[in-house]
Amino acid sequence: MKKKDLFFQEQTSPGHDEKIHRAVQENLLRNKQIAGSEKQSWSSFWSIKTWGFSTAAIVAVASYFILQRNKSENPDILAFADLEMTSEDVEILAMDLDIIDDLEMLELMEEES
Amino acid sequence: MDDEALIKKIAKGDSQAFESLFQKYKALVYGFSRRLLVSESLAEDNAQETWMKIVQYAPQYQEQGSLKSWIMTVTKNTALNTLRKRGWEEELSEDSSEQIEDSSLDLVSMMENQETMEKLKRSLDELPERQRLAVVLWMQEEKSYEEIAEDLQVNLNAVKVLLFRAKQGLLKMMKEDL
Repeated sequence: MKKKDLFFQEQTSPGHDEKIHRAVQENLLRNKQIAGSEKQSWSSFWSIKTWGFSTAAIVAVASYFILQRNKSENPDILAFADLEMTSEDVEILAMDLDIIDDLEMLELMEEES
Repeated sequence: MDDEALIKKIAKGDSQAFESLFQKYKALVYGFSRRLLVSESLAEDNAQETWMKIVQYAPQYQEQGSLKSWIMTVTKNTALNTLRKRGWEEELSEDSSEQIEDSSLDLVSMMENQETMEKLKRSLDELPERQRLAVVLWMQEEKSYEEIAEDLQVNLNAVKVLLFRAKQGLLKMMKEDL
């Protein structure tokens, strides 16, 4: 410790320490609440995001298999008509979710056209 | 655990982290408050307000220099605010004819032993308010004259006068005390 610090140090009384501990409790609690609410917000955000992605992923995968089935049964059928989704919608959705890679999607689109 | 980790935990409301930081710096915060404000009760109030601010502003704390410097700055600003609110006690004289030279008083060498240190503390407490503040800021924070002028809201020449008078005063008191 620096000599200078020793010069400036002075012992506090236990009573005064106790008073400070009581005084900071409210601020500590506030910090805890703020940190807790921030954590909860992130948690909610992630759960919504996860739920949203999960749902979207199911729709996209289902679309993909319906498309494949329809194509094998009737190649001329408009694959996405039943789902009221355009092929572009599915392409964007699937690529966003990394369900189908670019190459697969190109093949899919070529087959469709 | 280092200071940065402690303040991050305090920002999240961790009481144990506060306890660790408090134990580490409580004597310095209180002692610095005492040197700035002299009065025990004012220094205790200042220390309490300082610790409350440290906890309150912990979430906004950004690493710039050491945490210890930040704590000392909070302590100093809190004390100076108290003094400003109350109004400075001492009328400033900026007599430019006064010879302003660094006195031969070597404060650092006076910290060599406990007894001299205590005498220096007592002598500091006896100085007029602004002289005391100028010396304490100069000693504790190793501030430039310009920075001290800003803290005390006076011009540069006034700081030189204050420090010159303070050192002369301390020298006189220390000699009488020895």
